[in-house]
Amino acid sequence: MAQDDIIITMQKEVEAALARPAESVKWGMLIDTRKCVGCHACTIGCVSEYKLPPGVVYRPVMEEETGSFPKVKRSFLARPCMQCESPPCVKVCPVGATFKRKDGIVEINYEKCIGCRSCLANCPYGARTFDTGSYYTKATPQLQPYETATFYEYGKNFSRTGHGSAVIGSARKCHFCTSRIKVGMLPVCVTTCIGRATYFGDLNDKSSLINKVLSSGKPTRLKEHLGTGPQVYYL
Amino acid sequence: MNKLSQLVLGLLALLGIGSAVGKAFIWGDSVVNYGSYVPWGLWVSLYIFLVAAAAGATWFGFFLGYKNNSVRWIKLGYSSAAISLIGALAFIALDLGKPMKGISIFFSPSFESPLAWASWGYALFIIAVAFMIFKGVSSLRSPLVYVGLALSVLFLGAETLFFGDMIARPLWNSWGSALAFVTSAIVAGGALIYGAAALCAPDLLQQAGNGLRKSLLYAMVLHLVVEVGHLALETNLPEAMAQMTDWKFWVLFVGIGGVGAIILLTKPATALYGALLSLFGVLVYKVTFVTAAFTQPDLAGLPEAFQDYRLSLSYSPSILEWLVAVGLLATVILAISWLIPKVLVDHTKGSTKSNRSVNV
Repeated sequence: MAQDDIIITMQKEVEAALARPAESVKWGMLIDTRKCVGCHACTIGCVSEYKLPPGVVYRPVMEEETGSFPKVKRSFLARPCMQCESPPCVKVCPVGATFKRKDGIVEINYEKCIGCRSCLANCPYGARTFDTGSYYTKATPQLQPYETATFYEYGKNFSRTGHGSAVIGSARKCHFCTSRIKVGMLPVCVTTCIGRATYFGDLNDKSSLINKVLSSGKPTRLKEHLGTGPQVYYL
Repeated sequence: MNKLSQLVLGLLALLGIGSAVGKAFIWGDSVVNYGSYVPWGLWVSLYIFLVAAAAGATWFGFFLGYKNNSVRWIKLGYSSAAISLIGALAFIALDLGKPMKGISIFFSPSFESPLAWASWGYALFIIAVAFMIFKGVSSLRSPLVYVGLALSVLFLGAETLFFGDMIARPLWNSWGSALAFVTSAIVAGGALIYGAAALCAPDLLQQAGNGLRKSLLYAMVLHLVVEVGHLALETNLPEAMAQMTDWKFWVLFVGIGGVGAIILLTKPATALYGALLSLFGVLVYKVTFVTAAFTQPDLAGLPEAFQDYRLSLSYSPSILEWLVAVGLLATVILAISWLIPKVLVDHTKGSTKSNRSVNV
């Protein structure tokens, strides 16, 4: 019997996790840098899904070249929001606009956010960016529909056009595609990854694929010494 | 203040306020140069500068009031502090991505953040000073004097904690920075009160042995030692090296605003210029303090990973940021020159206290 593609496996696990109480689930991500080819499909898939404007990026992919000719190596590091256990961004928000959900995802309430950017200043991973209200097609005769279309984040439909958009002037970041998870879908970066380098699932479920892959190697986390407790692991 | 000075400041104030209104209601963040990897710039620097000056002016007002047994020193210090604080709030409100939503910090604060504590401290301090002015303060031991003093310690302490607790900014996350926040407040406040006195109550400065000049001189020396010493102990930090290799730090802060100010403060005849230079020096220090913290990428290769001018580490204030900065500072100076003489008017029978200002 042919084995399921890991995407199918992880999707089934997401559906199963949704049936459990939210407080028993802890969403996490594992990025296998040995498999990442640096195609940036995850970056662009995310930009496309959320109509991200200039100056906002949720999942950049950093490149590093090491060694010298002929033994040169290039490695890639995708960096979503770490959804920290002890998020430093939450501590500095003066209006409580950002908070950690029961399922582990750090959420931003755009309606509450005042745009002080304290969270941007205190994120050790540079995971947060600021929406200044710009558009890629701003200087052209017409804003394009792919930029002005509405998008779903945190289970709500948002628009960047019109007066008083909650999103403009707010901090923004990766949220593990909360709206997609809610309906049993995987985050965009997971499904667009051509190398199947990104794993996603419930870290509290010992039988989940993400935990199996984590235990198969020696995973690391970024800036662990700061005590933030990131929920994104790297192999 | 002579008519020409008032005219120039007035024009700058109008230009600045007009630009501020434009940013808040028409153009939004399209006219500023801060972004995501450098989220704070000139306006946040000016905000922390004016908050520091407000705290220090309160402390100096209290100290000089008791030393000279004079309620007028307290009124001068606290009123200057309140005006400085209002200026600070104007800068930070304008800096917000949603300036009109800033008020929600008072309706739904998250007291887990020291910034919420600081904001409440600012507001309560301004209300306390307003009570002092309208109710009148006749005694050094008035409860409002102590309430104001406590609130100034609260708001500066909360702001110090806010910056000092930022684990993502190693330059700020140190005892040296926290200490420098206090020493810079003392210098800025002393200089502010010196300038305000020169403008609005020169008779206070003429009182022999009032203590302001020497106290400011010692405070300036202490602040220089603390700040240079702090950076010298943190040379392993790229952000500290960025601040130390910034020409503005050495030329404008340490040189002109530090050593130059100290030399001028040693002589009563030139002390006012020394005070003004030290105020300028603290302002420059605050700018380098804020901007140096964002000179290093949070992760290697991050600015190159996705290109946009707001996703880079290079920042210089836009024209509008400069216009607003100069304009709002001019407004603070004008407000001090107009309002403080009214606050200091002595309603005691037979008083001959003069409020004529020097020509600046």
